[in-house]
Amino acid sequence: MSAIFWGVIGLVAGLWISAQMWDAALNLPPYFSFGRLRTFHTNVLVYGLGIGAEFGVFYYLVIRLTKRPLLFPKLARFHLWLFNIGVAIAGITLLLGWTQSLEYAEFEWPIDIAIVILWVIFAINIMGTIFKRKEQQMYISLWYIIATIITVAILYIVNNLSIPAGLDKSYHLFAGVNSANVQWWYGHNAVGFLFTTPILAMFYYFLPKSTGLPIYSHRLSIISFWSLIFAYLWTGAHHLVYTPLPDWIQTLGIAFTLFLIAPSWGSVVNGYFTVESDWSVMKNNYLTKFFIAGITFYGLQTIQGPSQGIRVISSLIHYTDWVPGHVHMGTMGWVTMVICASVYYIIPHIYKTTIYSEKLANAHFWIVLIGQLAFSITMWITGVQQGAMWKMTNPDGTLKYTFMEGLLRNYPYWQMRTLAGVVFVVGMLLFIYNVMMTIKKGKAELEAKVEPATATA
Amino acid sequence: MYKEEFDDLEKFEREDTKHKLPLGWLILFIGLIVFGIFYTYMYTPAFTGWSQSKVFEESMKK
Amino acid sequence: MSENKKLYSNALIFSLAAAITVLIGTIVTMFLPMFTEGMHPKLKELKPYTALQLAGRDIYQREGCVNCHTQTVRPLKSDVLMYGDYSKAGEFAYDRPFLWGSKRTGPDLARIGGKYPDDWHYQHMTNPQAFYEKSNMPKYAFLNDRKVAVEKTISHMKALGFPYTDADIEQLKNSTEMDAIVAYLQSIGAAVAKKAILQIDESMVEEVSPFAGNKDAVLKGERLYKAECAGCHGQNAEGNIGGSLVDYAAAENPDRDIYLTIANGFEGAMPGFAAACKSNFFVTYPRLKVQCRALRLSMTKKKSGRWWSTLRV
Repeated sequence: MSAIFWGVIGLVAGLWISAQMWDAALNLPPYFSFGRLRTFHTNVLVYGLGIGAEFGVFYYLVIRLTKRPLLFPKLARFHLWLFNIGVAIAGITLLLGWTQSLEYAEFEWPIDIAIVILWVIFAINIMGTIFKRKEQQMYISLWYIIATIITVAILYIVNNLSIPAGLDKSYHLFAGVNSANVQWWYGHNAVGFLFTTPILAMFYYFLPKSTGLPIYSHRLSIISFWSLIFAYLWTGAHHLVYTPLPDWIQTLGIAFTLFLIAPSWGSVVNGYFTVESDWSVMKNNYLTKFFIAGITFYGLQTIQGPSQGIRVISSLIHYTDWVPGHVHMGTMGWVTMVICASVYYIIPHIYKTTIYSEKLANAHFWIVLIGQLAFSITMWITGVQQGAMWKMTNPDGTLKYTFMEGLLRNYPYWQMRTLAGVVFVVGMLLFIYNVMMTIKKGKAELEAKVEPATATA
Repeated sequence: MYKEEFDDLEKFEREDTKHKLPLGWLILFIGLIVFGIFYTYMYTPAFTGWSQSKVFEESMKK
Repeated sequence: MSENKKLYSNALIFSLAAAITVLIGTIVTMFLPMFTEGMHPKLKELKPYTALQLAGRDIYQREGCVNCHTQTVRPLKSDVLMYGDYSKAGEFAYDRPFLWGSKRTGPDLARIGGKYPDDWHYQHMTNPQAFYEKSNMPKYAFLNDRKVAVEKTISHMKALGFPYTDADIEQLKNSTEMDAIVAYLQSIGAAVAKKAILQIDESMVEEVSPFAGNKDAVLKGERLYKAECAGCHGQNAEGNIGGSLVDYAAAENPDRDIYLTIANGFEGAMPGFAAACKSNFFVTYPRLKVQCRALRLSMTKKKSGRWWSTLRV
């Protein structure tokens, strides 16, 4: 699982920039200064860990849900290599400062083309396998996989339309306000279709698989699915509240953002009711914890997110550290939890063995949970404080604090955040160790099985 | 190696509550649609004349 | 709905249905607006970037400045007081892409152009901590040693269709990356006329400082001076980018003039600090009075030769 390797690189970069936030001396310009590393951190984690894990898990899921092997298994292997080389090169270009300055779409056009090729390879393989499936009905997970593949393709291509000006530079095809609108239509839905729908696909598969409990309501799944993918695309403008974007687009974006609570909670409720039929799995099955904690954070995330869109709240917390707090609850709470649990499930199944240590997995769970909570909560406090200090006025209508005064008050929180990040990374290292040992164990068992067989023959 | 791992879809979903929608959730769902329509109407300049810059001008007068 | 077996057993129909579903929102909020005028406004005063400014903007992008600095002032009172007039849609017609950003780890830069003299930017980019001791901004001293990539910048100008002259190219050849980024920073927000949000005039200020001789006020003034003024006027008021305040104080300016200078600043040379100390409420709101008067006092004290060290006791 190459995703894990990129996960480590990305996390280390994350720690580094979190420290740069409170000590500027940790910047090593030009290649390792905050401006470049921050982009490196987000992209390596999104594309390396997030998408890498999704590629892997989807291949696994699709085979099982269509009851047939992949249409092009060799293509999948090629895809893996191309992906790893791609992430490495892409990461380096970011450190070199090749960037389109579009959040989550920073890669310059040569990398964009490579990504599109990667995605097409992936799509051909997955969609081909689905089209030629041996099971008549498509399970919910497949719906989410299909929606992900289609939407990401549209999003990525449109937002990266640009005027190339040399190998390392291009200019957005769209200018000014329009550029902003296209970017956040992309930006928000990239989150939606890389961090929500694919993870839901995993959730809907692995929750019933690992607990043996069937999903509560099929109808709820259906309504949630369609209303989620319908509403998501309207919401990008909530990133642009109080900017020069026309008011009506902002308002529409906010309204649809609030509505998103419903479909998101459809999945949350569905998950809870599924496990409600037998809560003992929570205690007895270590994986259930990950899924339920994951979906809980998803639930919190999808209440917090939409409420941030509302103008009055946005005016307080936008541009502050609240937002990284929000993002990290989604990525560290929801995405990482579900991906880890999926990997814990898949690895023993592939190697036909059991997990190396359930205790270690439980420790991983609690450490990661604490790290993530500490991280997000400190960021929320910082964010509110920052926002309030920027806004606070004296009774005569003048500002109470200068920008620097506000900034200085953040340092202790930023130091705490780095600490929380360290805790989280320790948890993730436990996870990696556990997975490695499981693979080793599986291989050893396989050899042990083969040997007696050949001996008797 | 794949054969024994294929999944039986029947086991994935409960039959007895297949068509059920939790009432609380349904209220949330419809409520948010209604609110969304109301909100869009209220805060779209073309409908009510509300606009961010107007609100701003007023706040500066204080 | 759930009985519709066909939809969920035919992958092609399902894929099409999903594609259409995601396209509706896309078309209404993203695609259609592209054809409305509201999305392509342009202020009359707005000019395309010059070659040097564009080179600077490229560097701004390359260094990821957008990760910490926004470039849009919201139509909110506190934003406007801190940064200046709120951003207008027509300011960004030549921005590909927009650089509004999403996080203010550092302050907003939409109104940075013309706020400080060029020297301020050169020194601050090289060593931000010389201005704000605890600033978390990275040092960009290396930009001083790098020449602007002339050929690249020209091809970028061509790609964007911006006009340029031979003189512009000549200027590029003689410029460092630091020159370029300062030129860019100074061009931001230039299309919008500067207007002081708070303008203090003589009638609002008393002739003589009511804080003369108040030790607390002087201490407070000293702290304020170190935080906000020392970068330009020197740690010991000996002068740097801004003039020497020792000389200024020796000139025996009346209290009121000193106060007005601090409050209103000079266009392009010194920012005004009025938003931090509005004067017409002096009598009603004593806290403010202390802050603003203290600033002035610390300078008045210098006149008498007693500098901060003696006051700290």
